[in-house]
Amino acid sequence: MTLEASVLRPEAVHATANGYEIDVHLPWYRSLPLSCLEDIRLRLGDVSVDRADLRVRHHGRDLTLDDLADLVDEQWFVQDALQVLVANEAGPAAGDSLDVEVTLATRIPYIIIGPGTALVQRTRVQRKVVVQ
Amino acid sequence: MSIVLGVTLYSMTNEWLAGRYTLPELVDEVGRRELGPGLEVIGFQSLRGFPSNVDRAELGALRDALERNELRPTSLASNADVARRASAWMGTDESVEYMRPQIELAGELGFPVVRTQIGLTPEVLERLEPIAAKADVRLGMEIHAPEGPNTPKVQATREAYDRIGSEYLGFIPDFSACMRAIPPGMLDKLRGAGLSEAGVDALVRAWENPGVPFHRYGAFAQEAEELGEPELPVAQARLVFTMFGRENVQDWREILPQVVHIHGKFYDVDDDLTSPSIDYQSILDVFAEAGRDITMSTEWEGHAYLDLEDQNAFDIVARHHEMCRRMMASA
Repeated sequence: MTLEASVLRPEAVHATANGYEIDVHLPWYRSLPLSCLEDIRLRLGDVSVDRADLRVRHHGRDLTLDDLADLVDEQWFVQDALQVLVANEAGPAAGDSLDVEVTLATRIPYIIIGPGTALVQRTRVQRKVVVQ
Repeated sequence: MSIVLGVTLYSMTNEWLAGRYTLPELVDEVGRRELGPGLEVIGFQSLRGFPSNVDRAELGALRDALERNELRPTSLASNADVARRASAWMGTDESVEYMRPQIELAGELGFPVVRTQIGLTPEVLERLEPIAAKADVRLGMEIHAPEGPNTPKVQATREAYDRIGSEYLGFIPDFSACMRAIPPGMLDKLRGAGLSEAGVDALVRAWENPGVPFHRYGAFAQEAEELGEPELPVAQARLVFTMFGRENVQDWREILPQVVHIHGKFYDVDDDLTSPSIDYQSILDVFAEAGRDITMSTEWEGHAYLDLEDQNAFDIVARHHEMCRRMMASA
């Protein structure tokens, strides 16, 4: 499994009481602070999820993407999935198949590619999954 | 004197990310396959909560695994992470405090070297030196593509080292800096993404030309556009110019006395026990001149383009050891 292929695994999407929980793995070889996760874009079937509707669950807290920028001491461990939550009551149920696309923008905080500029790695992964 | 072989667990990145092994299990497999005696670990890869919040039991389990497999800790790789906050990069004080626990943990675990990165300024290095001396850990700044022993950023560090004058400050050469060819597996990946044979030729030519990586990539991108190559492989090819350096193998001689550890970076080993992309015989001949034992981590990075199913990392690390032993015997 390459870094890209591991981002979204076959059993990554779970139906919840009011939407979905999607397990997303880090497309890098080491853990990074949550502050380095600059953006997550998610498409479920034909629907692009609004950034404001995404939450990241970390240590029992549900965080908006804007909350992440200050979390320099919170680590996304490289073997752990990040739980991304989406409220959506109209989508497919458990057992249905779903075409999912995740795009991550991850700042690599030690790869400096120019004055004041760190590498921002953009990873886009698309996969047809069965909702769990 | 000789090179002392070993491995960095970075070689097993695919196996690790897939969750196939716990850390002690991974170390046991290195021991079972006799890929030591040296073992290098990347703190932020292998240890949850690194460096200040690692479970004591996990540290104990790592120590026990090293001991029962008769492996010798060689280098703990640290990260500088100066851009961890997008709005305000680390200043000198914050950088020192970010590095301190990484160096102290290396000392506690018995690693004689901490791998440091180019991002650390001379001011930070000067303030880390007493911390390293107290922990009895040498700081080895990695010289990795696209840098080489004589590129400006490394020259600035060499000057700082000369000024500070401490045995605790050194270098870790990484052979990505001095490659002779783009790894064939990388070219295959780009072909798979749609790059034509004419595009591959243009890429190889641009890579082999002199000049800074940014300009050589620009020349390739322009020719690729004229050839009508698809966007994806042209964007992916940017990595070719930053991951695979073209510095002169002989230049390592200039820093030999300051080498504290080596990264035996490689991508491929042929059936005749040579590496098509890196001239290992010439490299090992240069390092043989050091006249003392130096540890070298075998560092396979083919996982940048190969899947777990394509290549077992333990197997290819064993072949790299076999290649190095053959070459050192003939040196």
